[in-house]
Amino acid sequence: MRPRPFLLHRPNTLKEASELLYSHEDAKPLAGGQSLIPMMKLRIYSPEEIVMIGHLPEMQPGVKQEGSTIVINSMTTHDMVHHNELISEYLPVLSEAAAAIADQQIRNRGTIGGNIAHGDPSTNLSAALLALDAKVLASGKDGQREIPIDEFFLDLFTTALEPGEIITGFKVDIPKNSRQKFMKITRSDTAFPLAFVAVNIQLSDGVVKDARIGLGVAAPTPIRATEAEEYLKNKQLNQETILKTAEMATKDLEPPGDVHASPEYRKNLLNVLMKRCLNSLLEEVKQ
Amino acid sequence: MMEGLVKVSIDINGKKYTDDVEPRLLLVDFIRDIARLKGTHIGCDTTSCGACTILIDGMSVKSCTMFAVEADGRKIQTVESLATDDKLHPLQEAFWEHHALQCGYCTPGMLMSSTFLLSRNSDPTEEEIREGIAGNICRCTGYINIIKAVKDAAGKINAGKETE
Repeated sequence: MRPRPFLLHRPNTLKEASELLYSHEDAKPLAGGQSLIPMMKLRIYSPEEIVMIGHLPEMQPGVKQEGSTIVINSMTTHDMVHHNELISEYLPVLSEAAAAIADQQIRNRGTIGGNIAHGDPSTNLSAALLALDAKVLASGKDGQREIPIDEFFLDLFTTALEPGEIITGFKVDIPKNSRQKFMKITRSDTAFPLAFVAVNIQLSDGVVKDARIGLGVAAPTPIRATEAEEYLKNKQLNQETILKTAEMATKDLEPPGDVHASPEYRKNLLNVLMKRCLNSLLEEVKQ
Repeated sequence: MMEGLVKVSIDINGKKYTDDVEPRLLLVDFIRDIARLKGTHIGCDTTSCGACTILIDGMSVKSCTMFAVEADGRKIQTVESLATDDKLHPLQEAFWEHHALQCGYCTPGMLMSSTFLLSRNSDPTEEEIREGIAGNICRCTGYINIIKAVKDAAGKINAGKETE
């Protein structure tokens, strides 16, 4: 199918883009288009106006280190996130999450900014950014602000972005002594994932000093397993604590159900992934 | 603001095509209906099958999931760019030799995804080839012969480079 007709805007500045989006309620920004265009083609969603933002100077792809912080620009594609050296070295969970998105063609076109702004609970990067305690950089008609990722996802496809606000990038402080892992289960590469888990733990002599765990397709929004994180703190990573962490991370979940996975099945998958992630990190530490 | 038609100019296989198009026109429709290059196929039309895969500024993308206006001023390669004069590209030859197609509908996309893969990784393993064509669906031959063909073409391209 072809999308319904729409009015196209190609603003010259970020401010102009924000003002357009603010004053035209039914206008949507177009970044890589790998979620928006399929929805428009299926006519699940038909915005009356589209604001192109990918060409704006502030949005251009790029990853850089500023002191102990990694800054990732909004239009950085999943393929770039996957292969970037800074991200692979300091934020491997994000690199692994990007590598596991759909297929090569979609990774070449889809962007980290668009992916997160979409607010879909089944986007890999959301769990990884939750695990990394990222900050979302947003620019609106009244200026810029940083939104902690914990406060970003409000509901299904609903984020903390105010009308007219556009994601310009992300900031992540480089975690110290960190071990990270992303794992997911999917029916096929291009299908929506059934479940995924992103883990970031700080270890000292085999003891977990801090932990952040992101869960995907576990609730209407991407979420953290805060109770399990608390439990894991100051514990030795071993079979017993791994089993208990997985149990605590998943026991109270009420994940969505569909034809591919019932809520119970999905809960079980998340439990299994949680154990696999932690076991794989335990193996890494032993080596 | 742009109402109605938008002027779009795209370099496809070294030739420039310019037209006034609706903003909703998909890139694949620009390639097939305006540039009249029918090698790029529309399969699923839902970003799943990869039959419409092309290269834009050297990167493989699904041309059914881009608007033509997004490709304005950029360089595109379609399957028609592979063969030169009467000589098939080594990938095309290998697909022929290894019976890597039956109906052939997925072939243009398979060839373009493989072209991208080899542009990055001149000697991919079987696993890497499988990963490289994960966004392309074949519903008749299956993937074994396609993988053999890509592996063989990589070998031939590399051998050609060594003798140069």
